[in-house]
This record gives sequence, C-alpha cells and structure tokens, in this order.
Amino acid sequence: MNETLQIAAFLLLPILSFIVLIFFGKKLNGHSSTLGLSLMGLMLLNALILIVNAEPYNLTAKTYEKWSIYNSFEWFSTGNLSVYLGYYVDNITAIMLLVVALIGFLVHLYSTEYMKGDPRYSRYFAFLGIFIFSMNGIVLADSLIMMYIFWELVGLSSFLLIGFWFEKDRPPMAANKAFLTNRVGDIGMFIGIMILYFHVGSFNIKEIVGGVSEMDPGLLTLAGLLVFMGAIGKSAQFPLHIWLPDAMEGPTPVSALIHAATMVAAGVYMTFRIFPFLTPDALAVVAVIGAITALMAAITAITRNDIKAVLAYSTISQLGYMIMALGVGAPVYAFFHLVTHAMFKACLFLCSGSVIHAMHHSLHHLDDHHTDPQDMSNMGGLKDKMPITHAAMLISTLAIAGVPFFSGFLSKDGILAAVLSYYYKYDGWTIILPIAGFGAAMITAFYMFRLIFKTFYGIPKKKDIYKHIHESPLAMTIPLMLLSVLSFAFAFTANLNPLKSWGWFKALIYKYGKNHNFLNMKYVNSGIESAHYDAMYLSLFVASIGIALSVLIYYLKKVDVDKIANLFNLVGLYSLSKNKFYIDKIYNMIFYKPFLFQTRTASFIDWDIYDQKIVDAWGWITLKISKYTGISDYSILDQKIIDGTSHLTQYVSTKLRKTQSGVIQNYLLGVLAILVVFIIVINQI
Amino acid sequence: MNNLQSIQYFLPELLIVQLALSIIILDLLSLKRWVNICVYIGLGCSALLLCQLSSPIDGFHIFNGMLINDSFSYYFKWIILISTASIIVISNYSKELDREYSVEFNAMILFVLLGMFLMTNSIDLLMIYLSIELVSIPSYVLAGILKNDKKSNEASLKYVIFGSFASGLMLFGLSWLYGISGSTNIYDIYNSLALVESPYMIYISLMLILVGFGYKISMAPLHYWTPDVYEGSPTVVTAFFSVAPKAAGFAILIRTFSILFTDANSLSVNTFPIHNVNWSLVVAVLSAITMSIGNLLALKQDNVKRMLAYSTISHVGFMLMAFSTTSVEGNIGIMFYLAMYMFMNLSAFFMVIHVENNFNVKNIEDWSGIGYKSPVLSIFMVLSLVSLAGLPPTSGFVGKVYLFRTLFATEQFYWLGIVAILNSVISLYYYFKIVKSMYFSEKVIEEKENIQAPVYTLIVLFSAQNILFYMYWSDLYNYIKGLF
Amino acid sequence: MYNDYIPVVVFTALAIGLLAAPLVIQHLVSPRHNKRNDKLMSYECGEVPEGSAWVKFNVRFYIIALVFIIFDVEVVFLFPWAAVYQSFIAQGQGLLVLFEMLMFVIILTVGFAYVWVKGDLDWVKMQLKYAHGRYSKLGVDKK
Repeated sequence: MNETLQIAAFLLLPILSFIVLIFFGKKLNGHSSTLGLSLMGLMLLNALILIVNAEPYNLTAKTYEKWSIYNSFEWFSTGNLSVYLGYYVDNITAIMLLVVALIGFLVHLYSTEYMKGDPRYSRYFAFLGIFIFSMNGIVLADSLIMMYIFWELVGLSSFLLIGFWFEKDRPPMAANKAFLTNRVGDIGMFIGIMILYFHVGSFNIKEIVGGVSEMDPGLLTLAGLLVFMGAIGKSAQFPLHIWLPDAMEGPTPVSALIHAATMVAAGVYMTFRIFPFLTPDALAVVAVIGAITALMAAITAITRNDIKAVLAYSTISQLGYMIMALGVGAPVYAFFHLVTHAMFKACLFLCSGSVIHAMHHSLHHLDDHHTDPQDMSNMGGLKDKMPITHAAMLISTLAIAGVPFFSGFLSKDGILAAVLSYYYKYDGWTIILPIAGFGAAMITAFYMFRLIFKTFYGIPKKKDIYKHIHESPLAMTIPLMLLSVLSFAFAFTANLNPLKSWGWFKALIYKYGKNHNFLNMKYVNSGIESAHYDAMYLSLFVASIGIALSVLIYYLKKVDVDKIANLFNLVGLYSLSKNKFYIDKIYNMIFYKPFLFQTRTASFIDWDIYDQKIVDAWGWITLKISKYTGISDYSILDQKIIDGTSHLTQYVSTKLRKTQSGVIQNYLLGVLAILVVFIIVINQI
Repeated sequence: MNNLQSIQYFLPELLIVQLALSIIILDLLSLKRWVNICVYIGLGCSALLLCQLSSPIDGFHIFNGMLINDSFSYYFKWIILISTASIIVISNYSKELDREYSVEFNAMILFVLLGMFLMTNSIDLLMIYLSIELVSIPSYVLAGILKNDKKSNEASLKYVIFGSFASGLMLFGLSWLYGISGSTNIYDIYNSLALVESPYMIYISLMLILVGFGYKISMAPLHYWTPDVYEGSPTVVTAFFSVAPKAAGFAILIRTFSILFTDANSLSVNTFPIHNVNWSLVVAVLSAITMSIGNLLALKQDNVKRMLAYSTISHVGFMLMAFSTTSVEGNIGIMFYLAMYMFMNLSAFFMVIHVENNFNVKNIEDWSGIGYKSPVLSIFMVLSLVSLAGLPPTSGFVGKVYLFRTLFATEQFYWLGIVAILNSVISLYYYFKIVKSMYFSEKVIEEKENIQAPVYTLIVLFSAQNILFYMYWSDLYNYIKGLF
Repeated sequence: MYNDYIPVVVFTALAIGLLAAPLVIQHLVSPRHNKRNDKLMSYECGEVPEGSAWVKFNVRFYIIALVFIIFDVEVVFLFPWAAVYQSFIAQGQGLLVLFEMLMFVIILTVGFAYVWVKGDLDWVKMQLKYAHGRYSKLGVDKK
C-alpha cells in the first residue's frame, strides 16, 4: 500500500499542481511558481527515494534480482473486453522518473525567473504540472492502452505549451502542426495496439511480450512497426520530424523540458519497452529510420542561424541515434544516451534560453522590437558578459560532441559500437548505418562548436546590443551549473578513467534489454563488446575532425565559409541543408496542396452546387407547394372542416346541456322514454 | 356450502360490519378520538384477511348459493378497498365535512364498503338486489351529509328518487326472471333461460336489469343523477362515488350478464349473447351515447366537480365499449382500466379537495395561478389530467389501448371505435382547460397554502402510478390475465 | 309479429276504459246544481276539518315512525323464527339458530342505542346544533 501511495504521488503531485493553479492561479499569482516548485521538489525527493531502493547489478558477485513493483486494477469491462490500468516500476522506470523530476524541478526553478512578468504566469506553471503528470503516466504505465492515454495527454500538454503565447502569429500554428503531425503517428500506434490486443488478448506489455510468439511474423512485424509509428511522431523521427523545429516557438524552458529532455524521449522509452517483441525485420526498419534522421537532422543543423533551431535539429539528430541504437539491438545504450542527452541537451537549451533572455532584455532596453533575439548573427563575444552561461554551454557542447571525460562520449560510444558490430554482422547495405552514425557524430561536433563560436567568441556583431547584455540571475544559472556538472562522465561513472563506462548508472540498467524474443542478446552484446575499441577510436577521430574544422572556420577564420558552401553545393548539399531537405516543401506539394484542392473542390460542389442549386431549388419548390397547401389547408380544412367540427361540438354540447335541467321528473321521464324506445326498436331488429 | 362453513371466506366482510358497529358504539361511549385509529386498524386487518383469501375463477358457492367465492371478486374487492381506504384517510382533512358527523360518515362509508363487497360476489337475485340497496341507501345519506347545505340536500333527494326509480325497474326485471325460472340463483335461472322459446321475455327483463346496474355505473340514459349529485355532495363523497361504486357496478354487471345472458354460463370463456338476443349491440349503442354525452357535456362546464362527473360518465362509456365485446379480453381490459382509472381519478379529486381546502374555489377559472402557488402538486395534477385524457406518457394511455384493442380484436362495432377515438379527442379539450387555467394566467394567489402531509402524500402517490403503470403495466396485466 | 302486441293493446285499452268508466258514471249521476259548502266538505256527516290537510308536519313524527317501523319489522321477523325454533332444537342446531337471531337483535339494539343517545327519542330536543329561529336558543339555555 505504501508503495502504491509512493507511486501514486508521481501522478498526484503534478495533477494537484495543475488543479490548484488552473483554478486558483490568478489569486496566487506570484506564489504559483512557489507552489509548483515545492510540489516538484517533493516529487524529486520521492524519485530519489525510489532510486535508492533500486537494485543495481553487482559485477563481481554476478548475483542479481530483478527489482520491480507493480500493481493493476480493472478500469472497466464490457463483455469479453476488460481493460486494466496499472503501474510497473523497475530500474528503468525509476531512472526515467528521476530524470523527469530533476529536469522538471530545474525547469520550474529556471522559469520562475525566465517567465517573470508574463501575464499568464500561473497558467504556465499549471501547464507544466499537467505535462509532468502525463509524462509520469507514460513512464509508469504497465499497459499499452494506459501508455496511449497518457501519450495523448502529453500531446495535449505539449500543444498547450507550444501555443502558450497564442496572441503571437506563429506559436498557434506551430502547436497545431505539432499536434496534427503527432496524430499521424498516434493513429498507427493505436492500430498497432489493437492488432496486438486482438491476437494476444491483453494490453499489458509483459503479457504481450510473452504472448506474441504465436503470432504470424509478418503481422507481428507490421504491428510492431505500427506501434513504433507513435515513437516516430513523438520522438520526431523522419519523416514526421517536421514539427519539432517549429515547436521551438514555445518558451525556451519548455523546449528544454519537453522538446529536448523528456517528451521526445518518450518515443525512445516506448520503443525500449516494446523492443523484446520487435522482429529483426522491424528492427532493421527502426535502425534505418534512426540513421536517416540522425544524419539528415545533423546536416540541416549546420546552416541554421537561429540558436534554438540548431538545438532543435541537434535534438532530432540525437534522437535518431537512440532509435538507431534500438534498431541495432543496443537498447541499454539507447537508454543511456537518453539520460545523458536529457542532461546536456536540457543544459544547452537552458543556456540558449539564458542568452535569449539576455538578448531580449537588451533589445527591450534599446526599444528594438524588430531584431530577432534568437539569431546568432546578432550575437558574438558574449563570453565575457555571461561567464557562467558560457562555461555551462561549453561543457554540454563537449558532452554532445562526444569528447572523453564527458557523458556524451560514454553513451554515444556505446551506440556507435553497436552500429559497427551490426555492420560487421550483416555487411552489405548496412554500411549506411555506421556512415550515418559517424558522419552525424562529426557533423554534430562541427555545428555545435559553430554555435559556441558564433555566440560566445569573436567580435560582437551589434555593439549597442552587446553593451546592455547581462548575466542571467541566480535562479537561472543554478540549473545551468547543476546540469553542466551532470554532463561530466564522472557523474555517471564515479570513475576518473574516461574510457571506462562502467559505473553506478550502468549497473542499474545493465540487465535490462537483455531479453529479446527473436535475437540472441548474448551474441549481440558480445559483438558490441568486440567492436567497442574500433568504434571508440573512430568516433574520437571524427569528433576531432569536426571540432578542428569548426575551429578553423569559425574561430581562426582561416577558411572562407562561402567557399566551402559553394564547394558542397556542387552536389547540392548546401541548399539541401539550407532548405531542410525540402521536406516541408515536399509535404506541401504532395499532401497539403492536393488536400486543400480537394477540400476546395468538395466545398464548391457541396455549397455552390448542391446546397445553393439543388437543395435551395427543393426549398423553393417546397415553399410554393406549402403556400398553396397552406391556403387550402387554412381556408378549407382549418376554417371550414376543423373549426366546423369544433363549432358543431360546442353547439351540440350547448343543446345537450338543456337535457340536464336539474328537474328530476324530466330525468325519470327521459329514462323511461329511452327504455321503451330501446325495448321496442331493438325488438324489431 | 352452509352458513357455518362459509364464514371462513367471509371474514373481511364480517370485520367491516363489526368495525362499523364498533365505531358507532365508540361514539356512543364518547370515545370519538379512538374512532380513526379503530377504522385504520380495522381496514388494515380487513386487507390482511383479504390477502389470505384466494380462489380460482370458477370459484365455489357459499352461504347456500347466495354468494360465490372467486378470484374475479377478489380483484374488484382490492380496488374497492384501496379507494375506500384512501377516501377515509382524506376525509379527515377535508374542511367541507362537519367534524360532528365524522363517525356517521365513517360508518356510512363502511356500510357502503360492505355492500360493494357483496356486489362483487352476489349470485342470487335477492343478494344482487340487497347488495345494490346496501350500497345505495347509505350513499343517499352520504350525499346529504352536509345537513345545512341546500345543494347537498337537493343532491341527496334527487339521488333517493332516482335510485328508488331505478331499483324499482330492476326489481321488476328480476321478478320477470323469477317468473320465468322459479328460482333466484342465477345459475339455476340460466338453465331455465336456455329452455325459453321466446327471447322477448329475456330481452325485457335484461333491459330492466340493465337499468338497475346502469344506474349504479351511471350509464346513459341513467346518468342524469350523476352531475347533480356529484356537484352537490361534498367533494370527498364525490371522489368516493366516482370510483368504488363504479368498480362494484362493473363487477356485478359483468358477472350477471356473463352468466345469465350468454351461451357460456361462465366468466372465463369468450361467448355470444343467449338466444341471439343482441344485447351486446344495445351495450355498444349505450356506450357510444354514454361517452358522447359525458364528453360533450363536460365541454361547457365551469364547475370542476361537475366537469369531473361528466368525465366519469365518459370513462364509463369507454369501459362499456370493452364490455360490448362479451369477451374475456374485454373483461380483462375493464378490470385493468379500472385500476388505472382509480389512481388517476382519485388523485385528481384529491387535488380538487386540496385546492378547495386552501383556496376555497369551485370553478375552473378560479384555478388560475395554482400552478405557481403549489408547483409540485400541480405537476402531479397535470399528470393525472393527461392520464385521464389518455395521452401517452401515462397509464391512462395504456389502459385505453387495451380497451381499444379488445374492441378491434373482436372485429365488431368498428363504428364504436371511431366514436370512441373522436371522444378521446374531445376529452383533451376540457381536461386541458384546467391545465390552462392553472398555468397560463397572471393571477397571483394571496392565500397561504397549508399542506397536509397525508393529502400531499396521497396525491403524489396516486398520481405517480400514472407513470409507474405506463412503464410497468405488464405485471398488472399479466396478473389479471392469470386470474382467468 | 305484431299479433304479439294484441294482448298489450287490449290490456291497455281495458285499463284506460276501467279508469275512465267511474269518472264518466260519476259525472253522469252526480247532482250538478247543488254544489254548496256542505257538499264539498271532506266528511259530509262528521267532524268539521281544521284548516287544510297540506300542512308541514314536524320531522319528529317521521323519526319516531321510522324507529317504530324498524322494531315492528324486527318483531315480525321474530315471530316466524320463534315458530320454527322448536324444530331446530330437535335437529340439535338450537344454539346456532339462537346465536344467529341474537346477532340480528344486537345490531338493531346498537341502532336503538344510537337513536337514544343522540336524543332523537326526546320529544323536546335540548341540544340542537343547527337550530333556527325560536329553537336556536334552546341549546344555550341548557348549558
């Protein structure tokens, strides 16, 4: 019972925050952040307690007991269908809860300052509350149907937060786009869940994993990929990644929480959960999608000038890594990368938020409302003005670039090793996976340093803006510092050796993802072990190339940017990157425009032809008919026949009243007369 | 069965006699305050005794062939007992009645109750006549119970004269039957009638007996007394007259005619009139006249009680319509309709009593504004009126459906069906005149409304049956069907 | 079939004829010119009537008469019972028949007690609830 209560607190605390703030937020106003923050603090404490309980893997003893708590109750049942809701908590869940709670808490703290002065200050925190509620729901869910419910709730809260500044032009559009794009994936996910349910007879993930063995492999592949479609939408994988860059229209802390650290990771988390029953065919598709996403988003990120857009594409690219890792059979590394990525990407976003905040204040001071505070071409040299932000951002950039001593190195190294071993094993076309993986690693290092150099180094582009830049207040810098500390490899390994990834964290997750219905995971893992060193050297190599190129071009300015751009443009790469691979345009061409044309045509047929001509013609005819029937009805039927009957009735009634004279002699006479008449008349018949 | 053996089937009636005598004795001993408790307990015990008794439809003769003990009579006894008991309860809250004569009132009602019980199971000409007189004579007193009210006295006198006239004619008819057969038991008479060559004698005696029964159920042309007596009597008495004696009258009418004047000699067989004496046509014609007169005359009435009197006549016409089919289904339809009719008519009358108690009104126009003064009761009144009019969401509709069904199922008298449908339409008008008066008028009533819990409860309880039986009528219908 | 009505017609004609005959005879034989006071009196050779016979009688007469009739009938009912009682005793049903008659007498006795207690046997009733005119003060005096 206590356990259930403890688990329920993960749902109750944020929903309490939401309910209180949405109804009484106006009254609390300034204190609403305090309320949200304290509830998040409680939740963080709760998550820490939970993770202390979690059982790590003991490397020396090799003894291990899978620690898990779970419970479920019937939600409703009709006929044969009975649906259960419940939670399932193991180490993975505990870590996810901690990540959500930690980043949620830091974002709350950060937002108290960042959102200060916003007219809908309390509503912002309410929305954060409902988001965390639904995110925890996904994490705790023990069944696909419950996960699906919270999946949609997450979509809703994301919609609310992206469109938070709805009075502006672009946020509502971005919110719509995010929501609708996600719906495409969700429909697939729902169909997949239903296919699984009708073949296995349960929504419970564990029971599905146990029960799919009798399913037709082709159908199972299809079902797995359909469920994975949800992840494609939510984790912004190609081809449904288009919503995430637009989602940057929301407040920057929201981007850090939802669109970098937690919600987009939900897709990875879900794929991690369904991983055991994905067939090898399905996994290959997953890996390819991840690879395409990783590489394409990285290339697109190079040419972005908007600081948040760079980070957005970087997020897509990193999510591609995780999906690719799942596809090649390394779910542990995918999850590892998920957590490390959550830390350094949240840090990066919050740093960019800090920069934007400073830029915004400076522009506000100058009374300049036209300059884009997010454009990197307006920045430069901020290193001296914002030392803490600079340091935090540099650390997390090193982490994402995969430099040793930083967390990114550990997880990305594992993923690349898995990809490489996958290639060793299957050869042939699978070469594209390592190419994409290492290529993206190099490009990531390149564009992340490009961002650092353009923002913090060099000469300030706009002197007057530069003059008014100030370091952000403490409430914003504390999360930066904390998260940058967590971007060090040391935080995850408690070990100074940069090349050794074993540590408390890996001990916690080591045993998970070791079971698969179709793959021999032991074999896969030993393959990853053996490819480990190749991958490490190669990744270090490509990372240093990327960093070196970046230093050459943007710090030392030895190479002209335009020349390189032209060089790449010979194969069209530059314009591809600049135009985001034309994906939005392609969608516009093949989906939106035909659809709009179709709706216009349908509308024309429906309104101009059917409604205006045919229906109205009937209306006109009916009108005429009714006019004449009305005349005949009123004048003849109503006035003569109906009213006539009524008058007749009244007349008869008046006449009949006279028989009831009140004189008893007449009554008796009447009775006798009628009696005699009856006796005589009926006798004749 | 001889007298001593028969007593065990006669306990409710004996209890009622005892009750009537004991409250008179209580009054004589100046123990008036015990009278009410005594009556309630006595009626409760009588109901309990009635529960104990049951019998097949063909039953058996008791008291040396004077009475019959069958399930048919028990059903009617229940209707009579429920309506009478509710009247006794309500009478304690009527402002019209004089407290001075409450004991006499109760005793008279109990004598009438005894008479009505006997009416339901008389099978001897002597008992038929005696039971009808036992109902009539205390009824005359009840109609005139307001000694100081001229209208009440007039009602009583008219009732006496008309009643004596009708019972005289009936006695004449009964004597013809005795002359034909030389027996007073109707089963014996039936055997003699079967041998009679000329149907005219049967026909004349039948018509004369119909006068006696028709007077009890206020069938046209013997309805004349009804409006005058109903208007003049205290409202409680009017409510009483409008249900219980009608049920008893139908019981004796159905029993006597089904046994004496059909080919079957039984209640539980579909049959045809004896010797082709086409009395079912007579009943059909009289039914048409009855409902038409009732409805047409109700149209122009201003007095609510008088209007309800005419409405009673029209309902009797509808029930006679089912009787004219001379089928078991028709009898079931009447019994079913009587149960519905009891609830809706009594609830309407109780509302009239409530309104008279509080606002001292007599005419329909005076009812204006009552819909807003006492909203809850008015809603239930509307429900009862809708039910009386026979509109769908109420039991009145279900009851009428069965009456029409029996008529059309037997495939005779289609013209009667048309007349009945037309009459249903007419009846809407005058029932909704009250509704209109209650709701669509600006008048604001100043008087304070004094709600008496038993009156309130009874109105709500009885009126709620309109909805209840609309939805769950099938149990009752199947129960009645099971009796046959 | 109208033949069936011939007796009715004859009977009706006979009835009318027999009614009409005395009237006609009376009209023929009665003296027409000597219609003086003595001839028009009710009792030609007896008491001289006081006023008209169409006067209102006091309702008490009727009440007394009603009560008298009831007990008169009771006695009439008791005589035949007493006459056959011997044979019932012989059959061994004596107690039962006695009891039945007792019931009848008791019910009537209750009625008698009612009439007595309510004061309907008093010729001058002292408590009149609805008394009018000169009687209205009677009750007040008594109290």
